[in-house]
Parts: sequence; C-alpha cells; structure tokens
Amino acid sequence: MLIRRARAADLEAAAEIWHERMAMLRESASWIVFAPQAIDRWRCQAASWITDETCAFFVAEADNRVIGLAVAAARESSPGLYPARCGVLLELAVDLHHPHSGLSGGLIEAAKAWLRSEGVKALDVCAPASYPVEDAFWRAQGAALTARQYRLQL
Amino acid sequence: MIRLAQESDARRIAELWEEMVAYHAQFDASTFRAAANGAAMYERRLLERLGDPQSRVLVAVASGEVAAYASAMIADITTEMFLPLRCGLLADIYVGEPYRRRGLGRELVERLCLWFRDCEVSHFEWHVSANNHEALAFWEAIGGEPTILRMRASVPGER
Repeated sequence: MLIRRARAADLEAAAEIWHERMAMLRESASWIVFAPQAIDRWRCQAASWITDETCAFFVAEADNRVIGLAVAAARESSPGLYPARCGVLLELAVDLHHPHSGLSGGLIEAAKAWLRSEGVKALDVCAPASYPVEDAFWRAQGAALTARQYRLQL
Repeated sequence: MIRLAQESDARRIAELWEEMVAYHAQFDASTFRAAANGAAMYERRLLERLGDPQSRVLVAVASGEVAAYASAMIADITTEMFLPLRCGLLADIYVGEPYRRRGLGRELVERLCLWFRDCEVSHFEWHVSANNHEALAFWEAIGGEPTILRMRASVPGER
C-alpha cells in the first residue's frame, strides 16, 4: 500500500469512495442529504483541494487502485482562542470492499505529518453522532471528545 | 429584559466571553485557551456583527447590567455536494455566574428562535462542550437531535 498526494487522475475513484461512505452514513443520519450530481460536485471540489496550498489531499493506493483518501486543511481557529491555527480533517474515506489493515491510520499519519510541517499541533475531526464505530476509531487514534453538535427543528 | 446588543455593550460582552472561556477551561483546558488579547479580538468581531443583518447578538439585562448574551447567525453550513442548508447557528451563549438559574439562557434561546423563524430557516445548530455537564443538561432540556461529535487529536512533533 502506498500513500501519496492525490492527482487529478485519482478523482474519479476517490469520488466513488467518498459517495459510498456518505451513502452508508446517511442510513443512520437523516440530516445527510445528497445534492443532485453529488459525485460530480464532490469531484470538482476535490480538484480544488489538489491545488490549494492550505490543504493536503492524500490517497492510498494498492494494486494500482485508489483505496482510500484523506484531506486535511490548516485553518484559523475561533477569534481570541489558542491555538490560532488548527488542523481540520475535511474528508477521510476508505474503500469498504477492500479493507487493508492500517489504511485509515496510515492516511491520518500522512495528514498529521503535513500539519506538523505547517506548524499545526492539533487536528479537529467530526464524527457522526449516530455511528459509534467512528467515535471508537478516533478515540483509538488518541482523539478526545471536545463538543457535541445538535440540531433543533423550529 | 432581553434586547438587541448595542455598541456600548461590546466591552461587557467581551468580559462575559472571557468568563465563559475561563469557565470552560475548568472542564477542558486544552481546547479553551484565550489568547492574550482574546477579549479584544472578540469585541472587534462582535462590533462587526452588530450591523450585519445575517447576525444577531442579544443581551439579557438584570440588576442594571448585561447579565448574559447570545450570538447567532444565519449561514449555509453545507458544502456544495449536499443540498443547500441555510440554517441558524448559535455561536455563543453565556449567563454570568451570579445570574444563573433565573431562566435567562432559555429566554435568550426563545428570542433567537423567533429571529431564526423570521429569517425563514427551518432549524438551528449549536455546539456544546462535551465536558460541561450543566450546559449539556440545559440543552437536553431544550431538545434537539445530536448530529456530530467534535473531537481533537494532537499532532505530536517528530521524536
């Protein structure tokens, strides 16, 4: 398995992996609603991540296939709070049909290494509240719960 | 009394923000660390929001002073891959320690809900610090669907 920066040629496979993950999460999270042509829209957005210097877009490759992706960005924190800049994980998705040991962990390490090179010391991630597998995964990665996000219908 | 915040309230609101950060730091010191000039930065940002029709800052006045405040905005929170979701965001709400358990927090939320409805949004979202059990209890009483867990991992340096 090779983890490397994403190229334009990876976008189609990466978009499929992203879509499959969101479709899975949608089964337990009613608030996830795809836009029309969601895959195409994601691919356009992902193309901008390849060239955006404030982002790092990694893919994992095995047998000449893209089997996972991670996108991290360095962003300003809330005004007045330290750290002034924080890492944000924009995307993390792996091919559910081709599980590889350590795939997600490897992608996260690549993202962390890039954030470290940017002088960022913390990585913020969002896990769906209705999908405890991700919560457990992030805790195993050393992440601590900082906040819960709620939604109230008016 | 709940009313719109005015420029003259900005300093007091920044003081309350500083109190809020210190209060949260008791539970989570690594996430809530005010910068040296944090209150001044917050005050500046607040003053920008007062004239913004997409923002709302309310204060609760008790015993002749600003006892609590809430800051909210209207935003599209989704990326373009998802259907546009214009909704209310409750950014900050804080009740000064001497003024708690008088219903000021709930009054602020109710007034913000009126504004959200007036802006024709169907829902609003907010974050609650995971270790602030008093706040979690307050929000559980208000209601709402938990959607996201926000987590933070350190990015350790090279060993």
